[in-house]
Amino acid sequence: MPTASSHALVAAGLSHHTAPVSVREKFSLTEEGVRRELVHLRRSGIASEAMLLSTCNRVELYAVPEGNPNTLRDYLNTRFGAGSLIDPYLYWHRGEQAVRHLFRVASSLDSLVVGEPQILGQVKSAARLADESESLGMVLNRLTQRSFWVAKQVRNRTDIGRYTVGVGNAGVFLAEQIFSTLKGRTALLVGVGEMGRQVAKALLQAGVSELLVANRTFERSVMLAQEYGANPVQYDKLASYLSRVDIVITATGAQEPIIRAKEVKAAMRARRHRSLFLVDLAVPRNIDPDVERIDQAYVFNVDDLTSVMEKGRAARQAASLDAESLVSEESERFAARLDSLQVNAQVGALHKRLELIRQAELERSKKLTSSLDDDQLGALDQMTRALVKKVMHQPLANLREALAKGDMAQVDAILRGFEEPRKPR
Amino acid sequence: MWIALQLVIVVTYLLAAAWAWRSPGRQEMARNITMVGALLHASSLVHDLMQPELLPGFAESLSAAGLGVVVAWLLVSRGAMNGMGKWVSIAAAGLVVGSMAVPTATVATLEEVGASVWLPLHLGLMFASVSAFFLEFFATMVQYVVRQRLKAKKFSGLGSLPSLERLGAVQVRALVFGLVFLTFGVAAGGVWASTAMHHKSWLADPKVILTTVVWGWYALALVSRLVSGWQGRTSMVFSVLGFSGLLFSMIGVDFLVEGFHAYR
Repeated sequence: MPTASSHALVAAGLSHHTAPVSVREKFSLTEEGVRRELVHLRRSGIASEAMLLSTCNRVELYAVPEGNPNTLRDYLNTRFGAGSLIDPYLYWHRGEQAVRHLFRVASSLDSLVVGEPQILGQVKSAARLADESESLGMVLNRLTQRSFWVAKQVRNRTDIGRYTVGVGNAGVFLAEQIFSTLKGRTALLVGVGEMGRQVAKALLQAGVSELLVANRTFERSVMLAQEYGANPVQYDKLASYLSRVDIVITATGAQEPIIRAKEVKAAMRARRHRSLFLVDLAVPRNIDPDVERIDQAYVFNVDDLTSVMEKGRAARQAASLDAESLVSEESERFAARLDSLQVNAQVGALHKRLELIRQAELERSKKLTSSLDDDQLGALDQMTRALVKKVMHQPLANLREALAKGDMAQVDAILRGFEEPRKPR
Repeated sequence: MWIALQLVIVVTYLLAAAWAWRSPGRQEMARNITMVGALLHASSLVHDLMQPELLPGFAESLSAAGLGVVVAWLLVSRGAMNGMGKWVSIAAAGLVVGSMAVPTATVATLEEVGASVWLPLHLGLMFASVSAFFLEFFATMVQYVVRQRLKAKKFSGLGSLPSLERLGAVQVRALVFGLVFLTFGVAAGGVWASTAMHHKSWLADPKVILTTVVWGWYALALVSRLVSGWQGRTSMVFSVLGFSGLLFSMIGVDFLVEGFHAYR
């Protein structure tokens, strides 16, 4: 049986920090692939516990190795068929560093966009897959649960999630300064450019109920409308929609303004001066600059969205310092419990092994005990249980004492006494 | 004892504001602290009004206005404290401090005609209407700041202020509440004056005339808002002029013009 120190928690992997997408994509795993690898890790005795996190920005293995941790490195090199290709991109963390790494990942401090909320869901999915594949034991189970808690604390106690990043979210941020809710709103997207799509998509995700799409080529409007579940409208009747919609996003290649001040003024009367939010992502601008002078019309261009994003990035960076200190504190706290968690996990495994041995011995003696009645068999069962318990009592008491003193050498020595005998070669 | 209670009320309001400021994710707690402050504040005012030797005056008016602002905010805002709520709490704390600082002054007529059951009703409704109009004015000012920042493309700090639409909704609700309270407040005062004074000269009182003008102005503001949808600069003009007129009719007239409501 492996010892406590050999069971140090390991986090190994590569991410957008260490590997380009051309390398990351080679190691990326589907859900089925993750399940397959977890089963392999457990059955081949490489790790007693394992969790694989595979996203577009990272592929990471969190594991409690069964034997020599170097077998994990060999596994990564051989299993993915990449030979030594992986080595320059791979990072390894052990013990407290591994704990800290998972806490940082789950709290989105290690993300490409610091503070983005999706990563927590991805870590939760990875933990669920590991649980379903029966590779989540006591150590990783506690670790992942704690990482979810830490991520929640980081989100609630720091401002890391408050600030906007990404052009789509910048559009949503500005819309939310005007409207109390985006639910029930109608947006008009003019042009089918990538940036316009991003803003429209973010607005739909934020609750916008109806999206109208207009493009010079009506067929392209129809195609985009199908993609987003939107309604295509005629490009040459844009002005008539200004009284109906709440949000207008323009991103066309037109050289002249396609929305003029007089059209917006006329629409304002028809819409009883309800606020109109206009986002002009085109260069040259699609919206007449005079529209900005109209009282209830709020026009923002691509520079304004960039400014919102930059402010958001800077603010998130500042908030991430608070988050880092919270993560450090929690990592230290969890790491202090890691040794006892690992020993407990091994004691649990030891109990299971002894129980299997006991049952196997009873099974072997079945011929001898076949003449016994149920009461006698019951008494024999009780006796063997008591025997195992008594044999284990003193070593376990010594183990607890050594653990309480933090004497890991003594813990290792006791556990080594229960190692399975090596088979002669 | 009285001063200690007033200080506790001030500290409670400031604590609610600080909580809303520091923990944007814990608005429920900030709202609960504000409600505790409002309860203490109401108890203090009721206690004061029950003192037979004390005739309500300018200090009580300021304190009641502070309570009214908080209650009006809790009613119209559905309790969110992170945006404007913290400022409302700070304004209420300021009004309580003001009520402690101003010299004692009471309406001279009160001493001559004595109190009646219509008096607390009149005062309560008038304070409630002033509070609602104060909130409307406050929401208009914040809306002006948000609008100016959006138009000038200055985005820092915007995330902690309410949206323009939300502020607009607060304005309309505060206008409706203010007008209803003012209507019944004036009516209750009229009934009291008719029963206490057997001549009709109170109808020509400068405060009564000015309050009627203010009532008409706010009614016009509400109608213009609901019928034409006027917002932005137009609602700003209505609000600033209306609130100035209201302040003058509620405070200025009492000190500057002779009449039934004059302080001494």
